[in-house]
Amino acid sequence: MMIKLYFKQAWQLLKQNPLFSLINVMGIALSIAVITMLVVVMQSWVANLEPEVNRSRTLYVKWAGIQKKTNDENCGNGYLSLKTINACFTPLTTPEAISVVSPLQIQLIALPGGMKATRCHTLFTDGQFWKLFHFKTLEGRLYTQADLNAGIQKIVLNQTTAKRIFGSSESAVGKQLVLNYRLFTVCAVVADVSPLATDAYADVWIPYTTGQIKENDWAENISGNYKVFLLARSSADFTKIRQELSKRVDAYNGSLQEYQLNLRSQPDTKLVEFGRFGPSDPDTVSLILTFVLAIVMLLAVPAVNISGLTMGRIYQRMAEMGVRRAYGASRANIMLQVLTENLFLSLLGGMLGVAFSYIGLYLCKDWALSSTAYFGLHIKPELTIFLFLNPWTIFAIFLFCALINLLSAGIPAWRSASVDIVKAIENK
Amino acid sequence: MIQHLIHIIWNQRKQNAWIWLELVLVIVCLWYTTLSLYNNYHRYSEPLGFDITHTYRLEVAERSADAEGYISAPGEQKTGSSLLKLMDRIRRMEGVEAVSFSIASHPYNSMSNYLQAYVDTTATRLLWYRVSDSFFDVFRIKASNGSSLRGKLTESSVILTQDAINKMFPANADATRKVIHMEGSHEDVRIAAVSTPVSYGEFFGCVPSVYTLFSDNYIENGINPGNINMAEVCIRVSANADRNDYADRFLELANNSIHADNLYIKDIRPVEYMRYDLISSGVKRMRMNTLLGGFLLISVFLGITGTFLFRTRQRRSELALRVAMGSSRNKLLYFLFQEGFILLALALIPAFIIAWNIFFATDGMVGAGTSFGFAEEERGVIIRASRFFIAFSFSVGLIAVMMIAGIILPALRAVKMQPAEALHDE
Repeated sequence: MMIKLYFKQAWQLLKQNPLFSLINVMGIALSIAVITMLVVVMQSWVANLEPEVNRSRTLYVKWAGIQKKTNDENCGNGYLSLKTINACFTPLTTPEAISVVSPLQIQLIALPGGMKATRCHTLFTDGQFWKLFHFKTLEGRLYTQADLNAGIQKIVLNQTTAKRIFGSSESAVGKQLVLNYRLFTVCAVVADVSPLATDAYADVWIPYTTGQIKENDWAENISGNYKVFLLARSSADFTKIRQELSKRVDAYNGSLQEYQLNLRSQPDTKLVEFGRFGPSDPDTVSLILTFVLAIVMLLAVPAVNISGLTMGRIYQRMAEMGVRRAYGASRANIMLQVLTENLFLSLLGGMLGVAFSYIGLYLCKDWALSSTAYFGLHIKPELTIFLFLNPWTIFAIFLFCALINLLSAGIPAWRSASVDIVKAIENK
Repeated sequence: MIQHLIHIIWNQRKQNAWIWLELVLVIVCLWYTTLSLYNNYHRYSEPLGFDITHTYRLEVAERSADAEGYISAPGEQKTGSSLLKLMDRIRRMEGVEAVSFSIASHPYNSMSNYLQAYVDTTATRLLWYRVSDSFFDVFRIKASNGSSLRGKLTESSVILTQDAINKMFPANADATRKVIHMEGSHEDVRIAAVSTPVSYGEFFGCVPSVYTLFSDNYIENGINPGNINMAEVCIRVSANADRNDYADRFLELANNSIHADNLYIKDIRPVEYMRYDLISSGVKRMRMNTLLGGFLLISVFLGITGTFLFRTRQRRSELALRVAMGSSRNKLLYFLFQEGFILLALALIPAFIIAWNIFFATDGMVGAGTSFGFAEEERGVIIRASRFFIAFSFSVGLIAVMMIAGIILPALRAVKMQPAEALHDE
């Protein structure tokens, strides 16, 4: 009941002092806006985002380091070969599922018979791929592990590509088209995927046995053209999977003559995988540290700023506090009053901040949400509202609003509660 | 006068402490972002040694036996000779100025190969580019004396970058015609020419490098269906021909008429696309710093405006008294500004000490720039106190501007009052 009164009072104060309140609210809004942008960017890397709904329990391996056995010197890097995958990953028993996928490729797609061919983004996958990622199938049936093993030339299209080639997704299933001039039959049409889903995104998907990726004999065929995703039953199994994998890798290296495979710190969690670009391990610790430092700065500056303003206002209202104390209000009551009044402004600022952050992120989405997964392909990320509505984002925004409120009104609240009653009423 | 002002500030210390603390905090944070931005920009703007405007990277693929339009060979057909034929056709297309062939070598391709080169028995690790002769035309890489490198490279000679020469022959300025020995080869090779230093890309800096030749002979015999996907065919297009939709028009044309035997062009994209992704983490960092800098400046503005609004309102009668006692309004304005700047000056001292200590503790904040794993000694040490001072003065300057902007509104409001009315309150 009291809280409602405090809010009413806060509203009155806001009306009395519009300029101060504006400065106060803007200060908080600005800080929450930038913090929200950081949180949303971080979420775009790790959140369970359609169709990559299992990111939090998936491990990723994409990079094979090749070393000479004699001196452990690194002599090359690449994706994984099927030989390596079959020796090290396929036999693993701890994961629930294992999927083998190529990096995104550009292929030429056309109707049979010499129509103008256009570029499309293609993924070569196995049948397990559809288990790891939850695609929305609009028409037809996705290809299976049996299709993969038989090398059947089936193709899955996204809705946009189906419309572009056949006019509609309903009419596409069962029809034929040529991909890199080779004949494929459309087996299913799925809903479009956001480029933020860096491992699942493509325009078309085909079984990797039909993709004609050539195995590379160099260095005992350790490196090749595939990535591996390991779906654990829960993230608690990660350590067990790592141990099992490391045994497999040791056995595999024992079977090789001159070279050996070095996975470095892989398999990665999604956060580490996002930063992995190039042969060395990504510096995830310093990335997180940068984020934390930025957030500390974003909280500290407005906190000091607003503390000063609130302090000034509290001094003006000392008599009021004194009277309340004289009539029996406890220190906790007074502190609660100041904090609640300020919370009103903080929430107002928070809401404004989220709106700002959406605009800000929309303006800089091209670089802020971009990923190295599409190297050189010029795929522009989209800003999805899901990143804002995601429970983690909402929780983080509330947390930071509360934190900024405590930081910016904590000291003034304490000071106003601990002042001597008589002096306060005298307003000295 | 100043003593008087300091006295006033001291008397209001409870409030001034907050604004002072904010100023110290903001100066340090802004200095940090500015210096980080400066370090990054310095690397970003280093000369590259190549030029990628109007260049495109093509991807060439070969039709498989089950593909539509496959031409079954009348006799033996080599992928390599088809590729030479294809490159020749591309060269004759309208608007195409040069066509090059390379493997893991064109700018921003994100791959790197290293090679040990020996002068007598001293080894130097060099970044290794394997290119056709026309590569230097496509990417406009010039000899260190500014002349063209066309026709210099042969199968028994190499081109070294100037920084590689400086490293391998420290005593000798003119190294051409000297011989070096390459790892994995039995014969000595001649240094045919010296190019300007060549960068791996913005932020990465120049690395001592060596160019070796892919002759037509090598392409004809060395390229097969197994490695055609590694072939980099790059073209330079004339500025007139390179309009927005060049890549699309090229691909359409290529689809219809530009193929050789079973080779076709699968994709064409500006080298710029690869540049964008390769340097994205550095660019992100710079933009992030700019964003945080902007946030800090607006925060200072809001803080100053709020504080001075409050202060001038609280001291209305004092200010009115000054006017009543004959102080002009301009003088009053000046007085308020002076007060603000003394506060700033007071904040400068601790801010400077904190910033200098951070600068020192982090070795000149080299880490705040991007180094991408290239050894620091190869790039030259960047501890330069001058950068510290430039960044510090720049941030203080910006904060001063924000102070003026923040004080002006409350100050104007304050001096517009009627002294009689204001004093009436008393």
